Amino acid sequence: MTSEQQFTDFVQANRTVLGRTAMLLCGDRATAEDLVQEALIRTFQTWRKVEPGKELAYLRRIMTNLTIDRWRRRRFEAPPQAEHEHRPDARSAAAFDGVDARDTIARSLRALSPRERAMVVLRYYHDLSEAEVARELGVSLGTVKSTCSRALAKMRVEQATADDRRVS
Amino acid sequence: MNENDLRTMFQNVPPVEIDDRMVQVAMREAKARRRRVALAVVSGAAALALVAGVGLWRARTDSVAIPDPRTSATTTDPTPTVSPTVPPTTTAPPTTTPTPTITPPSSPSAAPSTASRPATASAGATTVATYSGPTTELPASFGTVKVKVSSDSERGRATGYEVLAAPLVVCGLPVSDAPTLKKLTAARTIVLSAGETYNAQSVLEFADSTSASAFVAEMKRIQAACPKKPTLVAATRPLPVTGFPMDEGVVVGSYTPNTSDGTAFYLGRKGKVVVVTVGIVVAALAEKPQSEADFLFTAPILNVLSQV
Repeated sequence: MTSEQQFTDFVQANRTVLGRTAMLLCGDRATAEDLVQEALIRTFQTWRKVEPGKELAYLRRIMTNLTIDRWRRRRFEAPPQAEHEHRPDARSAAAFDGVDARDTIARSLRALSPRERAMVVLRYYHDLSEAEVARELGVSLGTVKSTCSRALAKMRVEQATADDRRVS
Repeated sequence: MNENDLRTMFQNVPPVEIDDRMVQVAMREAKARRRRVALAVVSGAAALALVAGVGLWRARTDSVAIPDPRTSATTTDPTPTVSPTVPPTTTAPPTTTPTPTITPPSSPSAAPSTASRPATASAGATTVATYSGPTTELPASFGTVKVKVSSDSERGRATGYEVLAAPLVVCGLPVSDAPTLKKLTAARTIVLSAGETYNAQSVLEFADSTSASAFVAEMKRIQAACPKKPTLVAATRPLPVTGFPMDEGVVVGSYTPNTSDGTAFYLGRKGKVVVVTVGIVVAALAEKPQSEADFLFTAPILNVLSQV
């Protein structure tokens, strides 16, 4: 099997996880698509050197690094606009609930810094242990614990604010 | 919001669509980037090699190392194939004493002077002198010898280095007075003397090839204007050096083949290096055909110039 075939198969098998990770890391669809594309390019550039079985971790690492790098470059630019793509179209109450939940998540994540967001995504979406998150991001275990705790607190505040807004 | 809620909510976030087109584009772009990197590396290496090559070339053309005459001397034995029955008819420099007496050349139209000067042999390694003295005089290293000859052993005969304690003279003019020597940067002289030959060889390095050419031209001009002895073969002629890597080879001076009289000056130039050889023709050598005598004197020149 050629490396191209292996790479294609790998992406096919993990497209949902990768797509969702990108979405959680970026918060908006356009940026997430760019992130995925760039991460795929960089991964394929060194595909033969990637240790078998660790392809997903490698790609995930590239995505988090790219997100943090991009944030560093754009930190003095205007903050990203909220995504309107999944605004409710008012068809049903269930639809409203689902959209509300996604909107809350999107808002909560946008309240975090890219590094906090990366830690939260790795910890609670990819279900990595704190030690694994620390290893993957190259930080200490204590940093992961404190950052995750701070991030969750911020998300709770953001959610409470959103609830208040909805009630009012 | 607890951690489990967060996990559940994350699972509900709609993923970005990753289709086959994105994968194909990624692979194509990755290959293009790899090609660009390889091209940059190759271009960089080529540019570096080019710069290094130009630097080396400039270094070579800017500073020509003067080869050690002893190296060339050992490869070309100036000792002529002399029949033991032929006695020398001129004062040949002795090689059998630690402090030999040398007969320096005085003028191309005259036989070697009989006024011998004492000289002292000095031991030690040969060094390339950088000329920083008066511009009308040759540096101290000009005309001095670097290797002591202790005996008349076979080796001493074959590679006899002796002291030249007198300036080289062309038609009564000491070479050191030549105005074109102003741009001399280094000089080294060694005397090859064995049996019936006497060959003082100077390697002169000029600042540039133009200065070297000017020096050669001046020597030729002096020689051309010099009154000649009717019995001698006056010569300013190209050397028989076809095929050798030198820009110019001339004989300045005169001697008569088949006699014992004469002093020959040989000049060879390559780039900014000039090799001057003053050969005193003595009996055995004088009996040889002119081309053969030429070769005996010019071979050391060519050996030096081939190393330039």
